[in-house]
Amino acid sequence: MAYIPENVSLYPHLSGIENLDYFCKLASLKYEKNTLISFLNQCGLQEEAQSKKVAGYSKGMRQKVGIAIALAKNASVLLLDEPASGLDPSASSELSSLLKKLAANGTTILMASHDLFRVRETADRIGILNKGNLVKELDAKSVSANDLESIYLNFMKN
Amino acid sequence: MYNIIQNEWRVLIHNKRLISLLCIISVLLAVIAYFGVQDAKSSQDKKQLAKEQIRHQWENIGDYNPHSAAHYGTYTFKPTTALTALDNGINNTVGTVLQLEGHRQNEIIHSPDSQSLMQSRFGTLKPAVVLQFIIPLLLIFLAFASVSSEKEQGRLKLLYLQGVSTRKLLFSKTISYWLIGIVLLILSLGIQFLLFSNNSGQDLINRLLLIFLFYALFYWIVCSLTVYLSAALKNNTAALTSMLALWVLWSIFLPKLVGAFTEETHPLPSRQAFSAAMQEDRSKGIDGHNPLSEQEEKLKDSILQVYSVESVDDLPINFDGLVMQADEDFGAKVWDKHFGALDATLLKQKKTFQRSGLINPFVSLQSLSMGLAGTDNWHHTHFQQEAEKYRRVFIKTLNDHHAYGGSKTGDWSWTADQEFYNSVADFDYQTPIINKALPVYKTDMVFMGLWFFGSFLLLLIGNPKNTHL
Repeated sequence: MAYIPENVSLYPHLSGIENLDYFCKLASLKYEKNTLISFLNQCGLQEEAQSKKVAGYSKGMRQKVGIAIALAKNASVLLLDEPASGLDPSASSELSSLLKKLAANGTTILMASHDLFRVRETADRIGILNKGNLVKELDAKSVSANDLESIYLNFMKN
Repeated sequence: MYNIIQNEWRVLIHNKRLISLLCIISVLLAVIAYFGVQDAKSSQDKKQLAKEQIRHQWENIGDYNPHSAAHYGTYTFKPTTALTALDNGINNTVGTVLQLEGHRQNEIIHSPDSQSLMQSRFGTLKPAVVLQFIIPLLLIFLAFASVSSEKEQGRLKLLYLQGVSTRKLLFSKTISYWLIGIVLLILSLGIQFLLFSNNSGQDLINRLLLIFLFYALFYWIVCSLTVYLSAALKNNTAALTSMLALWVLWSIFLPKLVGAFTEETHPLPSRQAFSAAMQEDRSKGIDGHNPLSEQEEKLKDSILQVYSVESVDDLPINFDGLVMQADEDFGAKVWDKHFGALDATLLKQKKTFQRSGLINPFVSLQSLSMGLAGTDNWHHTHFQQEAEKYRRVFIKTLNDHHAYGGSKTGDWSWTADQEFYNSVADFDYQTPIINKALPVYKTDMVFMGLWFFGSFLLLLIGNPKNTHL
């Protein structure tokens, strides 16, 4: 199982590859540099950024490293906590296609988010939580983003 | 664990401020060690030269009256080794040269502190000062944020997710900084030892290894406490402040406090009172140059009886020599009594000091460092006693020759020949081997061991707040 917090914190003085390498080693995983690069590539981190210090990364780039760490762990379940908050629209879109790709490869993904549009785009199934209780479960394909919003607002009003 | 340590160093390398600090201290340490050794070597050479010169003079004294030779006396030197260059302990205060002569037991002369204001105010910068004060401070600076920064920057979750345990984290962080201390320790001791390779006996190596061991233990205590506080206190600043406070408490405040306390509980006589008391006891005995004392009359009567003669002029021997030896014997008793009491008090002071190691491992470190370097009070007393033992034999040889060498009573112009003087053995002080000295430092070793064990246990079973998510 792997977990991606809202804000992925890495070692700012180390590069993306070095961070990935270190966190893999902590989990007793030893990868060749090429493999590490391919994990980062899969997560869509530009190659020229991979060997630069994480201190200069955007939030989305750090998140990609975070997902690469999860990927490298070969996690079958991935938990994401508000991954889209603070991402620009293109980074957010990249994230959702990356998650879809992972899901297609058989990874179970549970993602908490307030971005209803993104949720509708990414998810297969949607659950609405209110005060810690699951109040509604939906099939993503069965609703439009607008419908989803009104259902959501309806629950929150009560 | 290895990965965390490696990563800790990798992160450290990017911290330019700490790296430059580390470099400065390494250079400082190397320079101090180098000059310390040079200084010690020159002092060793000077002592050797002086020793040879004194012996040379002695062996060329020619025909000379033995009692004049006793006044002429000789000098003896506390040895200089690689270890005295490392930690010169109390040597600057008590000095290292002792004049041995007839009639009196001299105290050490020409201590460096008594001759230079610079010296007495600031002491000399020996590697021990850096190893005891500066490196622990450096380790605190390196380690105070080690765990709290992981927490504050939010990496702790990720670390745990990757399978790192609290215990592993605490131990790895401690070890990574401890090893830096060890490297600096090896650097300093290595320079010391390599530059001084000419006098590396087995005992010196044993002492050096023990010095290494106890500094290593102390650094472990400092690192583990800093890492633990970094994991237990609210933030970086709290950990840094508390460790700095502890450093001041250990290295400066407590030793002063305990020092004042020991002086209060086991007071030493003032120099004046001590000399006066000794003088008084001494005056009750035979004075070698004052022939009218009562004790001398008794001695005379008994000797006349032994030789069955009427007056000292009829004695086949020189009575003056006997009187002087009787005076020496009495003086020795007085010395034993007064210095025995003084040494006993000093030992009590030392013990009280050592006991404070229970709350202050720095004191144990300092005591062990000086003790193992052979520059503490115990070694000084040993030197003083050995020198006095030699002085007694030396003067007795001269007095006996004065008495039985063939001269008559009252003949102060009689001379002994060179052959006799050559037969008087020279004194070569040997520092006792460490096995003999170790019992003196048992308290220090036990407390140091306890502190090490305690700090190890703290990391093993401690559950500091910051390691909770």
